[in-house]
Amino acid sequence: MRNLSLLLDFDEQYRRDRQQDRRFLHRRDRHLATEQDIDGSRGSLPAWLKAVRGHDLDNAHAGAHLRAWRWMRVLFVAGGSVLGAATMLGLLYYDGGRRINVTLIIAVALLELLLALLTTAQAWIGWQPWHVVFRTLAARWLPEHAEPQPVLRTLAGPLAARIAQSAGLAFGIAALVVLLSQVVIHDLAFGWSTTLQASAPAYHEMTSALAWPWRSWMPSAVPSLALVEQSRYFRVGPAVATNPELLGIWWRFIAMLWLFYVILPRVVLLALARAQLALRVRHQLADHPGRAALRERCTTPWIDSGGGAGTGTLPPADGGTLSPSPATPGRVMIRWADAGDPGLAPQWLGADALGLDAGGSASLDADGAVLEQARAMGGPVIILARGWEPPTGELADFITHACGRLDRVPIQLLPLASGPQPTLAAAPALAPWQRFIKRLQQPNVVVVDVPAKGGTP
Amino acid sequence: MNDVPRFAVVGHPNKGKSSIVATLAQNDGIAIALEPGTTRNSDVYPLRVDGVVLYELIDTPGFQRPRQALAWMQAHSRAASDRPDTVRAFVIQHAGEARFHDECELLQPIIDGAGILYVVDGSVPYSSENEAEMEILRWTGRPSLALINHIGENDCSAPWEAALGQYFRIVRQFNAVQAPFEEHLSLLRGFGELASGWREPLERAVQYLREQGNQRDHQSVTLIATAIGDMLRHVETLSLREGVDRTAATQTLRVRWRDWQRQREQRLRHDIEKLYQHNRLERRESELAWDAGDDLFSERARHVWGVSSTYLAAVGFGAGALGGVGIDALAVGHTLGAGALIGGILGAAGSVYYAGKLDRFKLGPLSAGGQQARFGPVHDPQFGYVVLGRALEHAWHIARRNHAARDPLAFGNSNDRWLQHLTRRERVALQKALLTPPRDVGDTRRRTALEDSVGHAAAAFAAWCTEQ
Repeated sequence: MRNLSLLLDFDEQYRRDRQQDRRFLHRRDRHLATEQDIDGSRGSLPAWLKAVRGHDLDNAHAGAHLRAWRWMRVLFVAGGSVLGAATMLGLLYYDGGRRINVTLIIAVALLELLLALLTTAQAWIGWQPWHVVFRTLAARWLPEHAEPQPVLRTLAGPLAARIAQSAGLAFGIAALVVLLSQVVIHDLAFGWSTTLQASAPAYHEMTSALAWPWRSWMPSAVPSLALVEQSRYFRVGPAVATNPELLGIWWRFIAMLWLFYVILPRVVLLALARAQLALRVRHQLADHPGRAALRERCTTPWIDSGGGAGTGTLPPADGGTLSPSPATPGRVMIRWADAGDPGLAPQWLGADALGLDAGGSASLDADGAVLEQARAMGGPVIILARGWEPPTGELADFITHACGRLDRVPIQLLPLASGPQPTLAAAPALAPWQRFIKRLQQPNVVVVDVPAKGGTP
Repeated sequence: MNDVPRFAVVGHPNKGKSSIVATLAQNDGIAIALEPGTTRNSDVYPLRVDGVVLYELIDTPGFQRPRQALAWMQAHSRAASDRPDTVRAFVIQHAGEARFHDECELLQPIIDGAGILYVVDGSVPYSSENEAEMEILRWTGRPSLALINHIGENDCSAPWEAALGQYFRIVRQFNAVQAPFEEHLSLLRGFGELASGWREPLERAVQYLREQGNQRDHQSVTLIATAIGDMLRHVETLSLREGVDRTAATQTLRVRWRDWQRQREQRLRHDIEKLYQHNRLERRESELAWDAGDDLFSERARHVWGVSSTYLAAVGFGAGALGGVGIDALAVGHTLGAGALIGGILGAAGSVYYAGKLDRFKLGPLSAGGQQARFGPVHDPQFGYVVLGRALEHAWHIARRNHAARDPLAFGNSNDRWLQHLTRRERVALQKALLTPPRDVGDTRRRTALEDSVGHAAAAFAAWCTEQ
């Protein structure tokens, strides 16, 4: 039963764990494996459950589920005992007129044996005709147990078989006790009777066959031919026995018959039912899907690559980008970090326009010189930038310096798209540039589109 | 702590540094955006195995003023031998200064001993703007490796390779969004080549990560098999009292049953995504407001993932015959194969008969009076194929998705031809497993059969996807 409790508790924990995050489970179980030498094996399960639950394995959960079965077992054993005593009292009922019919007792004993074998066969086959009845009753009287754990459902057959065999054993023992007590306190007169055309030798042969298990070591419990011949009686016929003392000898045979055909089979089959239950529990424990998962979690290293937490904050979503106006042509065009073609300055601003290079591999002094040249030329300045590159702090510094040097001259920033044609960067790439300009807080700095054709002054 | 290999991922802003870290650290929570300033501080992403750090990746901000920084260093250096100290002096001098905040952040781990992973975007033309950055990194004297990431579609990697080769001993190409898992491992192994003491921990890390990948693939099969088992045997019940409209009750049960199935499929997808550490995935399909086209019960799903009647009959025959063979065996051959034949015919007929009959409504007695209406379990073999196909497609995409990817997932572009990659025996076993799902958690035999079949199906699906 300890294994059964363990299985139920493990299954309950497994079902709870199914709701948990797998990363948490792996971390928890790997930690337990390294700290407490738990490897997911059968032997380590109690320690694992204790560690996971934080208290001793008190069977509280398993007990709740098994309580119904335990109660049923008690009831069946009690019922079996009462029924066994009553049955034997009924069989031994002697009104002084008729003898106690041994044939009837043999028939009951063999019927008992047949029932015991059928119970075992039913448990092995897995047929549960009583299941619907049990569920209906449970739904009415024990609603919390109407839908037991799935794992317990699969064990219902062996559990029921064990209860049935226990009840059968109680039945047999109670009946034997009653038989022996009746033998002691009453003067019982046994006989045999049947409507069939059976002769005394044939009957003797049958009883001798039945007595085969004990005839070699307890011959006194084997009815002799003389006994069989003398104890036959007929319903219509003389009731007085020739030798009344002889009729009592039958009790030894009946007691041994009961012992060997009712009690011992029940003992063996009960042990078999227990073994079947234990075997199935062991298989369930070994094949439980949670076991393989637990073993894997315990035996594989816990790899944490920092996948849980996120970092950084995303900027506001792109959107609301205004379409920039075409650049106002001036006489100065600055290519920041080699953006665009050097020929764009004369192409867009006229032959006398000044094309300058800043940023990139140019030195900081060269950047300063570029601004000096732009100041000398005067008028609006276009700064070409690679629109697919993000605006950097160095460009921000350059524009800030330009604002200081060029004194309110419009500074037009033109982020170009990548590609052979000099066009304005597409909206998604343009948004960061517009936010960049906004952050600079320079009123004379704007993002512009390429100059309109024919806009040369 | 000093013995742990550390790698600072540095470069110009927005060249995919965070993408590289997100992919290698399997962390889709790292903010990746098209705007500079997304990463303002260095973030450390250690790889821990049972609590032991094997290496650390450090995501850093991009260079903002490399020429100014280099100018300062050049002004304060007297000889090549003092350059590493000059870089250190620069960081000390400008610590806390807003102007060089990003430079200090990215240089600090390097002067503390980290290796350098310099990232550029190979899909945009080479820019001389990077030269000052590369020069500063050379001044640090730390082991370094250049990575050509591909953010866009163009390939401008040749000039980049030529330029990077002048500054870095090792130059590698790596697409953070599309590189397959084996390339991640190869790259990590490459990191180990930067210093002699780093090889062993990096090799161990690669080994662990490879095993973790295999375990995840196996676990995803178990998750799918469990979900399929749950979905195939699910039953919805409703207590009917006298006078209740049964048509309305049937409709109520049908809606509840279908919603439950959808939610179970959704849970499976979340489980698979969490298994592969995709915690922030955006799916094109919505959560519960199902788009008719992508719904589990849509005609489209059945069309894409269902199988033909011929297939069902053929495989159903095989599955039925398999059961019939048992009867022949019991009769020690006296049935002359009639068991297999009858079983096959029944299997084929059953498969075709139940195909498309998703609804299964039953009425039974209720212990407290009235009747109990039951909906399910499903007997339509097509349903199992639809669930399986959708699950395999989702898992396949998730398993191969890099953590730097930010595009939404889109499904439903497959067909049933992937089944051709299964052997006949595997097809029969699959159909049998789908028609006889595990009865409960203790049904080991059927559970194992279903897991095996899903495992074969996953391998077949992967083979088919690779072939496409």
